[in-house]
Amino acid sequence: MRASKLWPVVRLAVALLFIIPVYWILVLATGYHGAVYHLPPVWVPLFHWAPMVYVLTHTHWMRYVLNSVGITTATIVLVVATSALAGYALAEIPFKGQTAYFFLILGVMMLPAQALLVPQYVVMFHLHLINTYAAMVVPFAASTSGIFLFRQFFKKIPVSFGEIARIEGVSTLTYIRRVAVPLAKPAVATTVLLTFIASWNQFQWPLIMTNSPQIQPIELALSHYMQAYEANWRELASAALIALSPILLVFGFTQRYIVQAVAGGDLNAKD
Amino acid sequence: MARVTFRRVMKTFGSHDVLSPLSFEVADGEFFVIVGPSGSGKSTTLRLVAGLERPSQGEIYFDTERVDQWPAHTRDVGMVFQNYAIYPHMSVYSNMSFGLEAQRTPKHTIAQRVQQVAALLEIEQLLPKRPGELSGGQKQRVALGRALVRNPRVFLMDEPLSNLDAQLRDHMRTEIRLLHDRLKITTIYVTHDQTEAMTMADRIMVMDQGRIQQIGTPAEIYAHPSTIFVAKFFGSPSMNIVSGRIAVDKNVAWFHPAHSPETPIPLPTSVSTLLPEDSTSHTIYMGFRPEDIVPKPLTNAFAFAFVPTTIESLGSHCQTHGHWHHHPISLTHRTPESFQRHQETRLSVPWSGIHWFAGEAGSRITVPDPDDVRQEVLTP
Amino acid sequence: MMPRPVSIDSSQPDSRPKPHSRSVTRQQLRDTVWGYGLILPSLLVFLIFFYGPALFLAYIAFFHWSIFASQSTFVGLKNFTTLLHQPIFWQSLLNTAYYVVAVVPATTLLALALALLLREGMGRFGGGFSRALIFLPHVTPVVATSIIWVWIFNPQFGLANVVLHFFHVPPSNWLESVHWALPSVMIYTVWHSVGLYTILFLAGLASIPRSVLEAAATDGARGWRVFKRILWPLLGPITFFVIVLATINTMQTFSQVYTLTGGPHGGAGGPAFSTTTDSLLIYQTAFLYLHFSLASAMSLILFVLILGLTLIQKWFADRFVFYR
Repeated sequence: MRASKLWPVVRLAVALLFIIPVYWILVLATGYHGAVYHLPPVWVPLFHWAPMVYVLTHTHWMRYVLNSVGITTATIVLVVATSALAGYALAEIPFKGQTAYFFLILGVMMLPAQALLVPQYVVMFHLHLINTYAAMVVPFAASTSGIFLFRQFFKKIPVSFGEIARIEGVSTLTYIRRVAVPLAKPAVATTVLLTFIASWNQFQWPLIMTNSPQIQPIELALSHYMQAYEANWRELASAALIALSPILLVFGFTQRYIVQAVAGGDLNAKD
Repeated sequence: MARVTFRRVMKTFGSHDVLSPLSFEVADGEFFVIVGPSGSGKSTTLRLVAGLERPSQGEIYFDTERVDQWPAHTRDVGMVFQNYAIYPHMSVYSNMSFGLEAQRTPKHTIAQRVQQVAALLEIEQLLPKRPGELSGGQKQRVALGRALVRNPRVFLMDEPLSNLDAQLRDHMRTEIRLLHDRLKITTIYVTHDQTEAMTMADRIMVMDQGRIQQIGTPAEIYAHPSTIFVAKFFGSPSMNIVSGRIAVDKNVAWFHPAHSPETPIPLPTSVSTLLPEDSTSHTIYMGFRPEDIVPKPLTNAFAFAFVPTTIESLGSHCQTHGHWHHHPISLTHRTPESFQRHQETRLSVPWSGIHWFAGEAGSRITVPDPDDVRQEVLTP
Repeated sequence: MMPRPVSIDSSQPDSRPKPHSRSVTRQQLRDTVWGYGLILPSLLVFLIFFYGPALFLAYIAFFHWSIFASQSTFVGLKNFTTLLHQPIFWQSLLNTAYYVVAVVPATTLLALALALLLREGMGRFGGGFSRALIFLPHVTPVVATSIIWVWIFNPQFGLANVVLHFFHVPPSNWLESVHWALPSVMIYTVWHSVGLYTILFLAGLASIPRSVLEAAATDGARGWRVFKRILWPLLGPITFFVIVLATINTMQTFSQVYTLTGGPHGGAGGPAFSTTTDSLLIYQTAFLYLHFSLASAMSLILFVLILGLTLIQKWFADRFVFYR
């Protein structure tokens, strides 16, 4: 009986170990100037927001933040739209090529991302997409797991819902927009969350596809900044905290769904 | 409102015939019930009218317009599904107005129509509510309302009452029928429930395995079932059927029941002359309804020995089950004390209460009396 | 009620039944148009940005090809033979192998242990909160959290050496050391990804029926014996799944290698190329030295390796259902 009371404590202690690095970003970003060099390390954040305000107002960080926000928002909107449309076609419309498309999507899931970067760059180059916002968004405007997720939810909608719409003369697109998608809210939420995380965290793709400071998202800017001003720990930590906080906020509120989505998404997205 | 005509309509899925050629007509303003067991093709027939399916062959007319290739929404039908198909994320009002909006009806016309129909169905106070807050009966009304808002030429209902509990079902049955009497919209109503068919229909179409078994008024269908299937489908307990053979001996026709061939029953000439000449060569079925059995021996009637096994008193009458030489027989009668369990008694059925069937399909073989209503069976 | 005789007016023209084969096709055509119309946006993305490049990869790997030149010449296997004669290629393979062989077992074991810990005696703190904390690193952007790890690995004032000092272990140069640069990246990777595999193990554990565990408990089995006799055999499939998935992921690690060891920390790919893994080498070859053909040949090798692993994993995942 004693052991069972101890487990939650052990569990929490181990779990806290994992977020020490994240916590430390907060400590360094809001601490006093020399905190990084202090031995033994400082453990308490002082919540001096001045460095963060400085980074946001006196450098180009606002621009990078807005780049990331724009790229992420556009990607999310497009992914939800393309996933809902394709998911609907796979779930509700019997057409020749449906099975083929199903397997084509499975194929995309199996393509190793690292091995494709070189030819992808060539394609982007020939499409004149290098150094454009479109390059950050369009290739990620469709999501394999999003399509499977929407398909799965649309299949649960009673057939008669679509039939009554046909009788009443509701067009397919109106039906998808006003009936099917609202009834697949969990699919929308999961797709939005997973796309948000993937898109906000993009690094290698922008590293390869853009060298323009006008376009680069925050992760890429952070990497450049890190190489240029390594010693400036407090600004670096502040910038990292700026890049990190949207993820932390969203995760804080939706961790339950994200964890479920990841567990379900990786194991049985296609059912 | 419209007359609906089917002309040799066939439906095949792959190599499987779901409907053999169907021809029938539903009159303008009629309440037409299609009844049959699952897999009989009744729902497919309804979906063909709605435009949710296209016939593989044949034609469907609304009045004089051929509609079988028209898309569903151009046919002006209102449909009520078994699960009501009410969108759970929309208010009752939005559910009712959704179809009209999609067809770009002016907003004030929509509001007017919805209010009008809601008043008719007495669901005005439900309009702002979500379907989740409604009871089964209320959902049923909303589904009716959504179909009515469109001013349909034909009203289609697919098992609309089967999701309700028994009491509510009885109530809604009456209500739908009264609604029809007020609005006089041509209605095609699909059900597997014989009670709904008998109580609601102007005319019933009985289907089995993709074929029309019989079309007629409830009274006709009950009194003159055209097949064993129809005979057994209506009535509870269902009609007793005894198979056997006819043999002629000493100028008298005898019916040899299959379960006890050694006790043949002589048929009076009034009956035997009605039977066709080839009756001796194949199996003949005799059928009699439980309520046509008289629990005492009668003269000039068909009589047999009966051993009751269970006697159920239902208050107004009794249902007794037992057997005649190990062949199960059910009857209904007034007085519970007519029988003692396991004690053989003699029962009789007046010859006029006996139906004769023959052939693989079990078709009715009696030539009806001239003053009987003329039957037309359209099964090809 | 008067019966309504059914009239079939045969004088009406066209009353002979005719098959509607043409109009059946019309419905099918409608479905086909809508079907393809709705999949088109995603189909285009997949074809242009994924399948197209995948096919193109096989092409450029066998050609001498430059992005700026209009001409390309077929060179057969020359790109591959060139690769084989480059020591850095072999070094990158070795580094990758070392990295995978160390990270995958470490991650898998740690994830399994964490999953068992999270599962043990669900208390008021809720397994959910601890689970979220352990999972959190996986969703953090790599560059942002690498920054803090660069600081942790700082030889002078970093936390890593403080911990070593506490255990009386001599300090290390971490990212700046030939021997420790890659292990440092490994530590980061384990931290960043173990949450994902923990979740997968938890999903696998959740699929074990309670009754099985209760039966074991009433038999007096507990602790290690329950694990060995019941959990481990039932976790076999999910463990295999996790190992393959972790292998596929670690073989493609790029961002943390680039960020932790790519900058001023001993040059690109760590001191003496000690952290130059396959994906880093492909990146450098293609985008720093613009040897696209050579990079494509490397990519193709990586492609085949990973696709093989993925197929094994898919085949396996289809045969065993872990989680509902």
